[in-house]
Amino acid sequence: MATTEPTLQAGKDYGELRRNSIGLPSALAMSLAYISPTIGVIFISALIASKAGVAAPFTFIIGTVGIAFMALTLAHFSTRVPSAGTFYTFISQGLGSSTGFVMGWLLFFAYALQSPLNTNLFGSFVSGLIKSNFGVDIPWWVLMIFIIAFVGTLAWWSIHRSMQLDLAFVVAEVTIVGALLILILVKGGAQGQVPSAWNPGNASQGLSGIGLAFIFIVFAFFGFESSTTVAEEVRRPRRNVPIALVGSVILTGIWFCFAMYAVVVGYGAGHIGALSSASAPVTDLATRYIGHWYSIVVSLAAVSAQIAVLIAIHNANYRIFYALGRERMLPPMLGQTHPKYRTPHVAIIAYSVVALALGLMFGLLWGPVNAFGDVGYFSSLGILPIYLLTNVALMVYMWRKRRSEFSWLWHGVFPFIAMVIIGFGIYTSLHPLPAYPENFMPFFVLGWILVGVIWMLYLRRRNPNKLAMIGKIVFLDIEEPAKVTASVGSGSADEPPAAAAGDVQPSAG
Amino acid sequence: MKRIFLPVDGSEHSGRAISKTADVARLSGGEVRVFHFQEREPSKVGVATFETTAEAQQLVDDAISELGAAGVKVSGETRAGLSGEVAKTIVDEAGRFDADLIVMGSRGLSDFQALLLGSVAHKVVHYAHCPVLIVR
Repeated sequence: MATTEPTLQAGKDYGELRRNSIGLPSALAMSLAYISPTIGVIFISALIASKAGVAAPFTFIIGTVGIAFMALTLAHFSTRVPSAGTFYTFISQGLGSSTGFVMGWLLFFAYALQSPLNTNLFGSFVSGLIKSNFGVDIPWWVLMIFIIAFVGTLAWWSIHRSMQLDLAFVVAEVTIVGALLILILVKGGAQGQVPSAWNPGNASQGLSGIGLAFIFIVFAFFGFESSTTVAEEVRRPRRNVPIALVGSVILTGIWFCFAMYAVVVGYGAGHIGALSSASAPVTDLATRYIGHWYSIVVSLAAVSAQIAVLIAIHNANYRIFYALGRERMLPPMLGQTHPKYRTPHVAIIAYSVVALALGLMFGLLWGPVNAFGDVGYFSSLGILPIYLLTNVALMVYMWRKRRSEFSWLWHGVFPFIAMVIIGFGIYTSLHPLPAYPENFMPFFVLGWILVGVIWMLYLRRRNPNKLAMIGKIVFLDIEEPAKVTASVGSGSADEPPAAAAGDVQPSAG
Repeated sequence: MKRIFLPVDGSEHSGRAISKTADVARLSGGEVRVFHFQEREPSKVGVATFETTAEAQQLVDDAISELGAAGVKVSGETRAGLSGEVAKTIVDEAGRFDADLIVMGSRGLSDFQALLLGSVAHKVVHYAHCPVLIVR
C-alpha cells in the first residue's frame, strides 16, 4: 500500500524526529568563519581609527552591542520564518511584500558593492606585496582581472571549499594575527597601554566620529546574517539559533575589541594619525614587533581571507544571475548549465564581466586603496536602513501574527535598542555631513530607495505577481527545503506511484 | 542487499547508478532509498544554491519513477544543508536507513584529482559503514 509521511517544516523544532546534524559549538565556529574576522582587523582597523581616533576600541563595543541585538532579531525571525531570504523575507513577513521589495532593491545594492570593494583591496594589496618583496610592479587592475578569473574558474569546475577547510583557514589566520597582537600587548606597545582607548570622550571627531566609525564597524560585521543558514543546521533550533547567532557576533566583537586595542597600543596613542593613514596596519606592526618575515606570514593570511570572501561573494552572485536568467528576467542564456560540470557557466562569465567593470570603475574613480574603504562605507550605508526596518518588522510580525508568543522584552525592548543604535549611525552619517566622497553617499542611497519605490509602485499596478517573483528569485525566498518522503508500492509496475508530499510553502507578507 | 541507499545528483554518472541500482535491487529483492542533498553555501551576500527545492524534489521523483517502473520498492528524500557536508550527510543518512549497500556514481577522478577537486564518492567510500558500489 502506498503511503506518505508528513512533511516537516524548516524553522520549527524537529524534536527527536529527524534532528539536524551539527551541534552548537560547530554552528558557532562556522558562523565566525563567515564574518571574516581577519579582514576586519587587518584592513578595516585603520578606517575606524581615522574616524574615532584613539577611541576606536570603544566604538567596537557600541558596534558589537548594536549588531548583537540585530542578530537577536534575526534569530527570532529565522526560528519562525524560513530564513534563506534573510532580510528580504523578514521584512516582507512583517511589513508586506511591497516594503520587502524596496528593501530588497536596497539590499541588492549593498551586496553588489561587495565584489568591487574586495577586488580593489586584493589588487592593491597584492600588488604592493609583490612589489615590496620582489621588486616587480604588477598593476592592481591586472591582479583584479586575475582574481576574478581565478574565482570564476573554480566555480566553473565546481570546486567548493568545504566548511572544514574554511574553518581551518580562519583558525590559522586568527592565530597568526592574534599571536602578534598578544605580543604587542605584552611588550607594552609603542607608548605603553592606552586606557584612554575605552573613553568615548577621546574620539578625535567627537560623537560624529564615533557614528562614522560605527558605519565602518557595520562594514566589519557585514555578512553576519549569513550565519542564519548555518544556524538552521543546529539541533534544537529554538534554543540554539539565538545562541549561535548572538554568540558569534559577541565572540567576533570581543576579538575585534581586543585586536583594535592592540593595534592602537602598537602604534601608540600619540601616533593615531599614522595608524589612520596605514593601508594594512597589522602588517606594519608585524614588521616592527617581530620582523619582516612575519609581515609576509600575516600578508599571506590576509590574502587567504580575501580569496575566501571573494569566492563566497561571487558564488552567490553567479546564482542570482543564473536564477534571473532561468526565469527570463535576464537573457535566458544565463540560465544554462555546463553539460559536463553542471555549473552555470554563462552566468559565471556574465557576472565576472560585471564584477570587473564595477571594480575598475571604482578603482579608477577613487584609487584602489581608497576604493575599499569608500565603497565599504557606501555599502554599509545601504544596509543600515534594512537593519532598522527588520527590527520594526519583527515587532509588527510578532504582534500581528504571533500574538501568543509576543514578548515585550524580546520583541519590543531589544529590537528597539537595536533601532536606537542603528539610528545613531544613520544620523551621524548625515549630521554633520562628512567630507567627500562620503558626503553624497546618503543622498545616493535615498535616491536608490526612491527608484525602488517607483519601480515597486509600477509593478504593483501593472504586474503584482512579478513584484513578488523578483524578490523570491534574487533572495531565495522560495519554498524552504523540507524533508519529503514518498513511498512506492513494491513489485508491480502497474501500481501507480504515490504522490510525493508537497514542499513547504512559506507565506510571504 | 536488502536495503540499498542511492544518492543522486542529476548527473550522467548518477543516472547510470540508478539503472545499476535497479539491477541490484531486482536481484536481491531489496528496497531502495533515493537521496538528494541540496547544497547551500552562505556568504556575505546571501545564500548560493543552484537549484530550487522543486528541482531537487523532481530529481528524486524522477529516480523514484525509474526504479518503480523497474519493479523496485523505493522511497525518496531530499535534504538541504551546508556546502561541504554532502559526503557526511550521505553516510549519516545511509546509516539511519540501515543500508546494506550504497550505490553512487563517480566522475572517475584519480586519488590526486579527487584530493584537488573534491570527490564525494571518495569520501563516502572511506567513511561508509557498509559496502559502497561506485558506478562509472
